[in-house]
Amino acid sequence: MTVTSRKVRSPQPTKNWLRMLGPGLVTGAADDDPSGIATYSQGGAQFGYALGWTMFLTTPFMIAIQMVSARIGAVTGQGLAANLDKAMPRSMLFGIVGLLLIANTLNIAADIAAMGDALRLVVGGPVLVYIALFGIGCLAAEILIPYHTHSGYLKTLTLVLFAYVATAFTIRIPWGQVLAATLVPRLSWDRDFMLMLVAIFGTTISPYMFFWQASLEAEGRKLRRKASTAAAAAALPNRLAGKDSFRIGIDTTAGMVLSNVIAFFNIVTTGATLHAHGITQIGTAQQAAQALRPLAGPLAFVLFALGIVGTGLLAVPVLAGSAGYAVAECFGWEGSLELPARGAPGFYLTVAAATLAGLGARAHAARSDPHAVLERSGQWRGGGAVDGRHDDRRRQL
Amino acid sequence: MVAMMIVVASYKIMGKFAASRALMIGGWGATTLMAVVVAAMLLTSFGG
Repeated sequence: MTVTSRKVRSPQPTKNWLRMLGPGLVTGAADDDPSGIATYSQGGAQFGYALGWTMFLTTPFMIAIQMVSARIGAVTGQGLAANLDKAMPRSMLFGIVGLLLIANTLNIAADIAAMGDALRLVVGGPVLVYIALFGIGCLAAEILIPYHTHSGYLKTLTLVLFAYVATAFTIRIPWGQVLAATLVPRLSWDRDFMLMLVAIFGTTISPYMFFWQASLEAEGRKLRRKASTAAAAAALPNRLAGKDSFRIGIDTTAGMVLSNVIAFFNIVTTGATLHAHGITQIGTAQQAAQALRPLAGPLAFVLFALGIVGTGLLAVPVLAGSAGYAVAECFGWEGSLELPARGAPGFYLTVAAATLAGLGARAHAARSDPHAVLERSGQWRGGGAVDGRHDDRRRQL
Repeated sequence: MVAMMIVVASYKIMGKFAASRALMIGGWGATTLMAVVVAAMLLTSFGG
């Protein structure tokens, strides 16, 4: 499209609004990764609709803290690790980034495993081949496709989240009960309830989301600066006060609301099916999909399982990318998904190492305990997404 | 999260784009919520 043709076209408000969506939307959608879906499904299976209110409580806090990270990236043109370096001792920064790297690697392992298992549930075939294809495919996309193109794919992939909303509408849900449980929160001091509450909060607000959104805002600023004229570059600080601030608000709000709406539907769906039929313990998202099949029918099962694959495709690049940005900024390396691999070798090595270590951890777990990786991932992610009860789960399924 | 809040409030780092009061309240609210969650996790893990 030429500049002239762009000028003569009439304004398209919907298109303009969609153009505002980007880092915030993708970050929010990536929060509903297969590990997250496993946690929400476990919450619904174990406690029915009793935890639905948590999604409404956390939404404003998520929006605020993600807007904080986005603002840091947009204003400074640097990611979170580079900025934290200015505010804390380096040893502490190394500790934080090290923990992020371990957590993200375990999360990638759990997500790739879930994607492979979910695809096998739907089409059959060898799970290890699917796992390898997903892992290598995600890595290749990150390395070979420049960020400005890749971000378009990731934005489109967010639509897959609506599979979980569609699943809810394939079954009968007592909306009156859901509404009552949501509007009148129940808080029990029971240990299992508290553990699940902790797991849900820890899953909803995750550190990798801060690092990712800040880095993407910094990327966006660099791209805009490169594309703009000298006069526009000089006006950039004023954009941050007005136009960009508004865009970050809209984008982040849309992403976090989408994330929590999907999680809410997930809790409701598993509450109305698994919990209502006495299945109160599940270990993974694919186990939830499998358990749904006899209770909710083949359509709900397929939608749920394909949702796991889609959200995994969205989340793995986010997890690996956020680790790459954090490590690169920590060591002062050049780091950008926009650069070719030879332009940022340290950054891409970290992205590759996180993804391949995740693949390796999954392959090892396949020979030992397939639930162990997911369990460790949840604990590192910030609250023990799945606590140490996987043996009971397997018995009950 | 605490470090992020310190950064976003810092005029030295953020200049005139330091966070507004509303954003600071929301950000510290989220930080407090997660601190309570971590405390609850430790209590449930080690408290029996």
